[in-house]
Amino acid sequence: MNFWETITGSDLTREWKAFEARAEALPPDHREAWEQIKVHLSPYSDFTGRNLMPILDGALGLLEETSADGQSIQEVLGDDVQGFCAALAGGEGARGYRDRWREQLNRNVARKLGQLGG
Amino acid sequence: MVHAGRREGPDFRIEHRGIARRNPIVGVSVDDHRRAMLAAWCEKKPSADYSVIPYSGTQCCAVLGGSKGRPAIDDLTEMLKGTLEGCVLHIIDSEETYGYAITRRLNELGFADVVEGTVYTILLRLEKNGLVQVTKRPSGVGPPRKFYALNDAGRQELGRFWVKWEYLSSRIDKLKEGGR
Repeated sequence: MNFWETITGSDLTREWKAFEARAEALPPDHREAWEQIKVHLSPYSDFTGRNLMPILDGALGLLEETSADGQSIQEVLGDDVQGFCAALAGGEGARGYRDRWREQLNRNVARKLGQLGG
Repeated sequence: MVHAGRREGPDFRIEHRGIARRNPIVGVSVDDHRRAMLAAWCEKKPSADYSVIPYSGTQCCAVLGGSKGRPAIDDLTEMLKGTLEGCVLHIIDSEETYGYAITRRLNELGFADVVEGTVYTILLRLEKNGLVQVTKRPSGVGPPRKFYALNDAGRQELGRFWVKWEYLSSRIDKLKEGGR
């Protein structure tokens, strides 16, 4: 990954295209699950989304394996796709955008209070 | 699951009168005369499978009724959290295996609510913490599969898990028996 790719994110575009191509080949219920996984993982994305790439790669691999085995998506993910994605993103301690916003808010408030002499 | 062998095992007395339609859990205790009755009762209900689980260290056991061979405890998964990783380590210890087989083993054991996705996240964590050795092998159908085996760190962690489990379960059993 060279310098230009890093700053323009063209490697990311390429990876996304590859993911979507693989997802096309999945049966409909797995395809649906892929869409849900993307939705539930996005809160854990950093600014570029680069941190999600390996996670998505793994999730897609799981879907490909289980569809090849002929398992239904209910057998694979059960009812809790959101919990699955939370676990994928790093378990209970994973920082999502909400946590980052919360930290930023707290930092700003603390700074303001400090300026006011509080 | 109907365990034909267990029906011949400890003697049972059925404590509760009726069996609820959902979540039928019948507590039983040892009694000489009711063994045949329990066996006959299980025979009479071919559509519902029953599993018999003895409480370790006591003379009681539970008969769980359910449909299609599933025990009727729904919140086992809650209690299982935290120990599932240890269970997976133990399963990998006996032989090099992969996600699907691990899930099936856990289901066979009676944890029907464990799905492949859960096992997948556990395996990811084990890999990240350096407790397993992963080999990719081609499979007959679909993409190559990851096979997991324990490394030394994994074996140590497994040993620690059993120590913790032994401590935990013996303390709680003691609580049940009214000890200190």
